[in-house]
Amino acid sequence: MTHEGHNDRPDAKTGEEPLLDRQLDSLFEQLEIEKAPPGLTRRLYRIPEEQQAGQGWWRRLLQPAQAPRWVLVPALAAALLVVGVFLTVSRQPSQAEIFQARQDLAVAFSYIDKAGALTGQEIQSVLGGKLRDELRDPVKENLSKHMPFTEQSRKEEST
Amino acid sequence: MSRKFRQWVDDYQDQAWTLARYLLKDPAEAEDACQEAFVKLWKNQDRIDPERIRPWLMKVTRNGCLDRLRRRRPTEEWQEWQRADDGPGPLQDVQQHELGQWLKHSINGLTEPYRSLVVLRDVQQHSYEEVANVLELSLSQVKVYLHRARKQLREQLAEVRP
Repeated sequence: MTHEGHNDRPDAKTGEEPLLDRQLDSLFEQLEIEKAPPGLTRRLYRIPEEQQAGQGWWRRLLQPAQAPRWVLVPALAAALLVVGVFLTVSRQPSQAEIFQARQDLAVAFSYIDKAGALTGQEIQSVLGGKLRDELRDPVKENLSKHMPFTEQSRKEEST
Repeated sequence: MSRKFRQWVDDYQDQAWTLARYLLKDPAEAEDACQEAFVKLWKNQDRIDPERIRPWLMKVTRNGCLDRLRRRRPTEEWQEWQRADDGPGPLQDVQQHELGQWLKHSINGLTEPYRSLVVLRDVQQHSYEEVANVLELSLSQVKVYLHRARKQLREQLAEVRP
C-alpha cells in the first residue's frame, strides 16, 4: 500500500529519506485499524435504547421514526381546534362584560320607552287617553316583569 | 433510525476506537470517549449530512479525547504532554514486527495535531480533505504538518532501525 500524497511534500527528499520513508510506509501498513472491543460495540448498540428511555413519552412520540413529520401538522391543528372550541364554549362572561351588556340594554330600553311615549302621544292625539293606556300599560308591565333591571337602569341613568 | 445508527456503529466504531486509543492510551477512557462521540451522533443525526458522518464523528471523537486529556492533565502533566516527546528511545537490534510496536509508541509520542494527523492519514487512510475537515485545518496545513510529523518519525526511525 502506498500513501498517496507523500510525494507532493513541500520539500524534496534527500539522502536516506526515501529509504526511511518507504520503511515508514511499510510499518504503517502493519498498523491496522484496531478492532473495537466487543464490550464497546455492545455499549454503542445500546445508545438508541438508552437515549429514548431518557426522553419523555411525548418526545418519543415526536421522534421522526415513530411519527412521520407530515402527521404532526394536522395533529397540531386538530389539537388547537379542540382547545379553541373548548375555550369558546366554556368561557364565562366577566362581571365587567355583564355590566356593559346591562348598560347597553338599558339604553336600548330607554329608546323603546321614549318611542313608546311618543307613540302614546300620537295615539292620544288621535284616539284619546283611554285607548293609549290600554295599549301602553300592558307592554310596559310586561317589559318590567321580564327585565327587572330596566327600572333600576333608568334610575341610574337619571341620577 | 436505530437500524441506521447500528450501521454507523458497524462502519465507524473501529476508526473512532483506534483514534481514541492513540490519543488517550487508556482503553477504558478510550471506550468512554467513543461512547460519548456516538451519543452525540445519535442526538445530532438529523443535523448531519449523511455523507459527512465519518469526518463529523472523527472530529467529535478527537475533540472529546483532547478535552479528556486537558482534564486529566490540568497542570504539569498536560504541559509535558504538549512538549515534543522523544519517543521510545533507541532500540538495538529490533526486528520488523518490533518496529511496528515502536512506531505505535512513536506516534503516541507526537504532539497534537501531528498525532491525530498521522493516525487519520497514515493509519486510517482518510483523504487529505477529510483530515483537513476533521482537524479544521487547510489542505496545505495538513500537508505541511504531516510532512513535519513524518520527518520526526523518520529521524527516530533512523536511530532505531536495525
